[in-house]
Amino acid sequence: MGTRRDTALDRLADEDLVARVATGDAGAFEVVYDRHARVAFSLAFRMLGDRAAAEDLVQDAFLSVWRGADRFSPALGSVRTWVLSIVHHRGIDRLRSSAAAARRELALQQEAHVGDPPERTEDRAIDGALAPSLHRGLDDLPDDQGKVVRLAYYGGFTHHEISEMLGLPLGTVKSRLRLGLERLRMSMGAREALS
Amino acid sequence: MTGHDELRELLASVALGAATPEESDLVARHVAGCGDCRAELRGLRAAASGLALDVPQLEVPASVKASVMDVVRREAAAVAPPPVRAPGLRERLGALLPARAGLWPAVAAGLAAVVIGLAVWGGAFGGGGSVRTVPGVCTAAGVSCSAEVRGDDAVLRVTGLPALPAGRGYEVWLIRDGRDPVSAGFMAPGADGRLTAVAEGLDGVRALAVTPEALGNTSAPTSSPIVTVPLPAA
Ligand SMILES: [Zn+2]
Repeated sequence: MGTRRDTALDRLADEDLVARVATGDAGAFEVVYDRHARVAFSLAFRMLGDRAAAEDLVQDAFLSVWRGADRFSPALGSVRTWVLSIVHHRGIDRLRSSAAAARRELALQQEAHVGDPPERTEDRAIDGALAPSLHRGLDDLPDDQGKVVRLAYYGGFTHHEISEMLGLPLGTVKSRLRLGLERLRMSMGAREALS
Repeated sequence: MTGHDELRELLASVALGAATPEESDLVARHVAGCGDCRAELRGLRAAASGLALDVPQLEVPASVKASVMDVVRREAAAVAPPPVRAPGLRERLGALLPARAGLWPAVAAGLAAVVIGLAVWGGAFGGGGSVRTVPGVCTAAGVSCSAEVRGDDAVLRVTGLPALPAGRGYEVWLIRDGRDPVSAGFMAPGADGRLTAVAEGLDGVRALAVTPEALGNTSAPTSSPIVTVPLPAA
């Protein structure tokens, strides 16, 4: 290590870098790693709640970025979205593995409290401890939407599981996920427009 | 068949990873043919990945990068991963050759002048002229290779070749500018993994290469070379 760095590569867009990674360019890969490893690791840690497991997940995910760069298509979204969806999928796989079942059960109980009506202050405290948020969007969602989105994205639960756990009809869970995510998309768009 | 409206309701679940594998498959098949849903899913996926920014951002330990880059550099350096057909070979050899090597349209060159054979060779080319030893590129672990060149003749020396199963042998290829590799025959390494081949009449040959092949294949290499020795221009 320590032979950084090719400033010409640093000036390339993510998409161009990934095209080079697909030809086996390790230098281009390193730039992609430097750009996205932090957010990937943060997501992995939020999902798995364990540093060692998160480190392991990030290594796996980036090696699959390296080996699967030819499968990236700009038509399907940005490089960041692609990298994060690899991290997310693999995180879900781990959460759903039997070894993680017990911890998941606990998370399920805890998350169930997140976003309960505001008057339950002890639950707001749990919310703060369990799911510190940067207030970039999730907190703007109505609680019923924010809760199902959290359980799905960070908790790795299917909408069937969420429906069972919250005692809600499946259709209600699906439409809350949809409304919540659409609202997040709009607030992201607004943030981007302002920045 | 599940229709557009029903699947549209599933897009957010898919983007959030909350759909079942069966549902995700249904959606994948639908969006392949529905531009509307494809665009919608793209936007929802981007929104979902924004949730990764909605958590405290943590520094990644440097050791993670070190071990990822370690694997990546190793794999990038291994010139010859799995199964590559002749074009791959050609590109790889091309990279090792001087720039003017260019592309190699197929040609059935007459190579009667080239004689190659297993040799117990004493190092005497006979006659005068200086002998140059040129190093080769070996992609298999433990293999080393070089050639001793004098004029249009060369002795290829390879050590550390693994034994091959019955029916397979090491095939030597002659690489010329603008041509497909041409077989110079099969060689059998000795019990110690050592192979020595004498090639004569190499005018215009830019490199020698070796691939493991099924005995009898003489048309084109079927894998990347484990040994490539570029020959200096005469
Ligand atoms: Zn559709």
